[in-house]
Amino acid sequence: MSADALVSAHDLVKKFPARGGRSGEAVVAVANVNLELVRGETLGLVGESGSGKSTVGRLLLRLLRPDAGTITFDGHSLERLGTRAMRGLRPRMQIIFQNPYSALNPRMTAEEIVGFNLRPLGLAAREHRERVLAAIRLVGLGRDFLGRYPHQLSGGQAQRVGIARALVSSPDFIVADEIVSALDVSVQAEILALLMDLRARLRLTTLFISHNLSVVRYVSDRAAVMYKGRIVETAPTRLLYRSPKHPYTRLLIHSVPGAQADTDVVGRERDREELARELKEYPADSPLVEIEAGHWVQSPNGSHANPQVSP
Amino acid sequence: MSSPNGGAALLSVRGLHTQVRNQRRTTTVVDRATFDIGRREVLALIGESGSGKTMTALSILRLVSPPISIAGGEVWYQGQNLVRLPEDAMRSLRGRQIAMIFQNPRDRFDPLQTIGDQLVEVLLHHRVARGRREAEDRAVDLLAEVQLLDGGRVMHLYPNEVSGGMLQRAMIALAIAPAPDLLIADEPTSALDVTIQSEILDLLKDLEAARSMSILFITHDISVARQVADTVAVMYAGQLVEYGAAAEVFANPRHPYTQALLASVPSPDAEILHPIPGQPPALSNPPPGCRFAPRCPSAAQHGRALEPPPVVTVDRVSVRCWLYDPGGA
Repeated sequence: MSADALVSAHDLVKKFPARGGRSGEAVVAVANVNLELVRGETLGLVGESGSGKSTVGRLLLRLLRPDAGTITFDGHSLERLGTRAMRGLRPRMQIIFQNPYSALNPRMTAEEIVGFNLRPLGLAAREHRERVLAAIRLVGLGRDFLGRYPHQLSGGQAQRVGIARALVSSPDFIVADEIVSALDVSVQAEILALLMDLRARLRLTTLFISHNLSVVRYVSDRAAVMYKGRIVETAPTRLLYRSPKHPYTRLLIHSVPGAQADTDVVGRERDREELARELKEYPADSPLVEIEAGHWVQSPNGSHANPQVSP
Repeated sequence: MSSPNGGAALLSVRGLHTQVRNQRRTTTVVDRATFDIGRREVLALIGESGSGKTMTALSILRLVSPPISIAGGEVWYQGQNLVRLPEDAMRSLRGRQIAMIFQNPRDRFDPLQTIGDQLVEVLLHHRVARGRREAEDRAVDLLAEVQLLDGGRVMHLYPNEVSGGMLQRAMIALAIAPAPDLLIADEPTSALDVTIQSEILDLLKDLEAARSMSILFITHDISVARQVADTVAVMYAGQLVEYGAAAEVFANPRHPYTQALLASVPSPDAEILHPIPGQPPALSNPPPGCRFAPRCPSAAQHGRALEPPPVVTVDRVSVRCWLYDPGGA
């Protein structure tokens, strides 16, 4: 484990009761996930729906409790922390959601929404107001937005309010869960630019969860690919996109629309079938091995390979 | 009439005008749209939410109802103007000659009937098969055509028992069952994972070729359009702003909005994204002249933003912009 890690997770497991199944049956949403975020870095977490991305994000914030494994936040073991101590840490770890309209209370003004996250700090009224206004300004909105309700905001403005709410308590760690997926493309670019500007200015450590590889590539220093509850590959972003190793990563990159524009339909279909076949034969539960500096991939040799602890 | 790719037009839309009317005001949601869909061609209709893409498609099929109505224009298909066609003729054309698929197939299937029963019903309704036995055989063939190879098993499943990608394939099978000339696909892959999306896009391209079918492909996602389109039409605030062959428009976008849209999307080779400043105008109160002018970096350059820009055709690409006005600037 790196000395500079702000957040690290070791062998995280999370199971959910299977819907429609007999009692006792469980779906393993997250299986033995190890990850680490160094202070100031953005780790992109990509994968298809149901791969466990959001569950990992919620586990790291202790919005969910793991069934096994440990999570450390700035030296605190989250799974051992009492409610009270946890409440003391909450201002330092925040989340931004996908759909700002469903994540913002429709009966609260922007000022109330952003201020809600400050209430545990019990500030004097004047300081409270000032910090809310500062957060609203930080996301590029003005004083005139304070009194507006979510339905009076455009998608981009509403997402800015969601970001202001996350930032008002001056967090160190942000989980950004599909924060541009519900937005129109022209607004996406604006929110991504804002996020990148803020994380540099505020030295935020960010877990950026997205199903969109192009977006992850654009914002992340490192990326981790999840497939069926496991991280199957992780590397510095450029390296991962340049030389993906795991068949699922290769399939994902292959599937980015427009990425295979030079190949005809028949060629694309053949490549995809080949990758799908490789993926099927790939050992699902083998440990990650480091194949070059910072580039970890699930071992193709199955679980009897030399177990190494991943980053 | 012909498409920008030079082929003969299957469907010609001329000045299509669709409005929403309530007591207080009339809002134009599709403003005199003019374009052709060529035979065996995928036309991608690109735009942000609220730009009028879906309204254009629903107007072609005349699936709009009060307070929305078609206020003017023509939709020519096989020598008939669909805007004026009697309702019973229109009804027999919908689904049979022009079919439509949607973003979320789960909303479109009856959850209480098996996929097979729903396919059989469509085949019998459109008289593609005589009798249940033949319809079942045809249904299995159709499922194979959309690459659901164990069709015999899928037939007996209910919609909730299959994945989103499988259900989208089944919906495509349902839509192509009567062998339509034109398939309208409204964001058919937007709810799917990227790997499945890529499969469905290629499936649609396969069907276009194998069935000599045309596709009107509606999407907000430029990368998706880039993968499937032969022709593209870009919509902004209810109007077509650029329309031409896909290769030409993507390589050499002319309208400032198209340029801005392309620069705002992360692509495998984009290093810097450029957001488009501002927001689209409210359709209830659009700017008097060019609708993109308040956000346009070139508006100052031509200085005529307050007048409605002309539609100019440059190298077979139509652009609604003063920058290309041969008489001005």
